[in-house]
Amino acid sequence: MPAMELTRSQEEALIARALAGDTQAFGPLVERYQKPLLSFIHTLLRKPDRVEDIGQETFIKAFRALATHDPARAAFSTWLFAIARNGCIDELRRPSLVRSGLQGLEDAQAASYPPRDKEAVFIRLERALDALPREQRETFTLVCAQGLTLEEAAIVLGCPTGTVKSRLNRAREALRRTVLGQEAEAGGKNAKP
Amino acid sequence: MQNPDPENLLEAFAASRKLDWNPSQGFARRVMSGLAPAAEAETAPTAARGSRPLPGSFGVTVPGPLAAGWERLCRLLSPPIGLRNLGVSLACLALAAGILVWRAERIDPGQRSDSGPTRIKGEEFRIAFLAGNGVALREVGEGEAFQAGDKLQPLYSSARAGYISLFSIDNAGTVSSYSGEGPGAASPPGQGRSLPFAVELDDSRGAELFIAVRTSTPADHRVLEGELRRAWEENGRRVSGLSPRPARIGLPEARIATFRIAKGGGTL
Repeated sequence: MPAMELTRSQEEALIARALAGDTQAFGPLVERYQKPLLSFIHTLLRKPDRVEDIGQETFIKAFRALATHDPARAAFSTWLFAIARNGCIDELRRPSLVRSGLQGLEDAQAASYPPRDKEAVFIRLERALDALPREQRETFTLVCAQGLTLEEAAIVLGCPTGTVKSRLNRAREALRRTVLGQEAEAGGKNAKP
Repeated sequence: MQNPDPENLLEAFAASRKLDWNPSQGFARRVMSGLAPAAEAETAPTAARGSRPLPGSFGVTVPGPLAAGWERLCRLLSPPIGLRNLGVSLACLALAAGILVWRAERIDPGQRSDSGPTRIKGEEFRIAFLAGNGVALREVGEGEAFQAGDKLQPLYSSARAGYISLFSIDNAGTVSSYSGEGPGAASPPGQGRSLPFAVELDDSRGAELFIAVRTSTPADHRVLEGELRRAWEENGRRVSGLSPRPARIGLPEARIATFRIAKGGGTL
């Protein structure tokens, strides 16, 4: 079933009702944002067994902190994603008993099914992305993969838009070098003596 | 082979990193069920040390990853439609049984559970745990081993209403309190009732003893923590063989129930 669309004023009305004690008013917000929020968490976290736990915690934290949401500063969805992002960071800081970076890579490949001839480049890119500072990695994921605007990413990341832009440029440049390095390597192998 | 455009490759790579997630059936309902006890959960702060309590709701609602399994368990236990036809005839039997129970309660009021037909003997007080991974839910066996991050839902069975405080103590003598600082609300009698929080296990290793204390008036948790620590010291600073007695922790009218687990793959 497609998620119900809500205008910003409808969202604000629901939030006002929830703040006034009508818990059920939060329900349409959960229905509306559960899929994008869980996809967002899955993209950041890459731990399928934890996605819905973090999602549930995010909604509960948001509900309890509704009074702190400022609609003039950020849309409800942006604010929600910021809470989820913090939950993901907490989760990633916890020692993992099962998952590994390699597992995350396999998930990414399974989910995206890149063509064979791109597979090697994608693996290198994945490693290069993992090697980036966390801020750059997050920025690339939020803007390029998740499709947030620079302004939205700035709110989620809690930094100025200019910082998002520079982090994104640095991330893209590092990844571009990886692609070119892969191409040079491939070209070298194919070069005739 | 034609070299791909780096920008196109980057775009394709970025797109491949966006992972869609379809919420499981009932996800929104679980979220909504987790909102109700916000006030209660906030009165139960995270333990400073040891395993930590997770917010949950009181009664039949089980929080977080346990919820789906809990619902499944409830469905399994609910009667199939065909059996409802037996209801009329069973109602006659129930009426007769009700008269007997009513007569019994006239003789011994205040001693019995208010949930379900099964009565709990005398002053009995027990605790148990459910463990779940979001899909399945199962009852935990005494002495079972768990890992850091595993979540357990505590249950209690009690013949009387009372104030239930849950603690745990590990081999290092670390006492964790899960019931918050304040007195909270009295827990009703019943069998297999869930306490209003779940417990997430920390990364300490070895045996851990959960201790539930039921008192008729709100107990001071700090005093109880001290008494439990003293009991551990008197037991040779070991969890093994530790069995706190109400009189020895200064609450002769209290009832104590214990449950042992092992953490970090250790054994008891």
